[in-house]
Amino acid sequence: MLLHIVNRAPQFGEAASQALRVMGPEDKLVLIEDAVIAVLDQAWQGWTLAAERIFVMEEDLEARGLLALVAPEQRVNVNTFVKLSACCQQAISWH
Amino acid sequence: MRYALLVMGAPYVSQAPHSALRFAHAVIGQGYDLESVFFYHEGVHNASSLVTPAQGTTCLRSAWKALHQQYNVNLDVCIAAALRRGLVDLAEANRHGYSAYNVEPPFELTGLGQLIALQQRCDRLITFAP
Repeated sequence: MLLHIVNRAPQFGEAASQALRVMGPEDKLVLIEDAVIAVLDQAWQGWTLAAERIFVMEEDLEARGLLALVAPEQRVNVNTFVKLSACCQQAISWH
Repeated sequence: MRYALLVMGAPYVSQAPHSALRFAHAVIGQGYDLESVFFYHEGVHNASSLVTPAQGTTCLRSAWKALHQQYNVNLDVCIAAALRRGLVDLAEANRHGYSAYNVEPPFELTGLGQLIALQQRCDRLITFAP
C-alpha cells in the first residue's frame, strides 16, 4: 500500500492525473497545498474512480477558503497525514 | 519508526518548506524519530543566514534551527545545489577565496551520498517539492 502525495491541482498540471493512473487498489492519495483546489473540479476522474481513498489537507483548504466544500471524513489534518504515511509502506510525492 | 524529510522548495517562494516544517513537528509529536531534513534544489535557500523576512512573518531558518536545537534533527544541505546558488559555509568560502559565507551550523553542507544513506536508513522519506 503506497501513499501518493500530490501538491498540484488537476486543473494546473499532470501530477494528480499521473498519480491516479499508477494508484494501486489499496493505495491512498492525499492532496496538499495547491492540489486542494481539485475540490473545485468536479469533473476530475479521481472523484469518480477513488474518492474513498483520496484525502484533502484541512489546513490548506482552510487557507484557500475551501473548507466547507469538503466533507469532514474526506479531510485530514497534518497529524492524520503523518499517520497515513506511517501506515503506508512508502510515500511518493507528485509535483 | 524513523523519518527523514526532503525539502526542495525555497522559503517565501514555495509552500514546500512550510508544509515540511508542519509535518516535522507532527512526526515528532507522534513519538517518531525525525533523523534529518535534507535540503536540495531550491530548498537549499532555507539554510541562508542572510534571509531576512519582514517583521511579524515566520523566519523559516530560525524555525529549522529550533527543530535541531530542541529535537536534535540534522539539517543537511546538498553541497552542489548550495554552491551553485551562492550558499557557502566557512570552509567553502576559504577554499574559493570568498570574503563572506552564509551557511552556518546547525546547517551542514553534505553530499548526495548522505541522501541515499538516509533513504536506506530511515523507514520513511517524505518529499516536499515546489
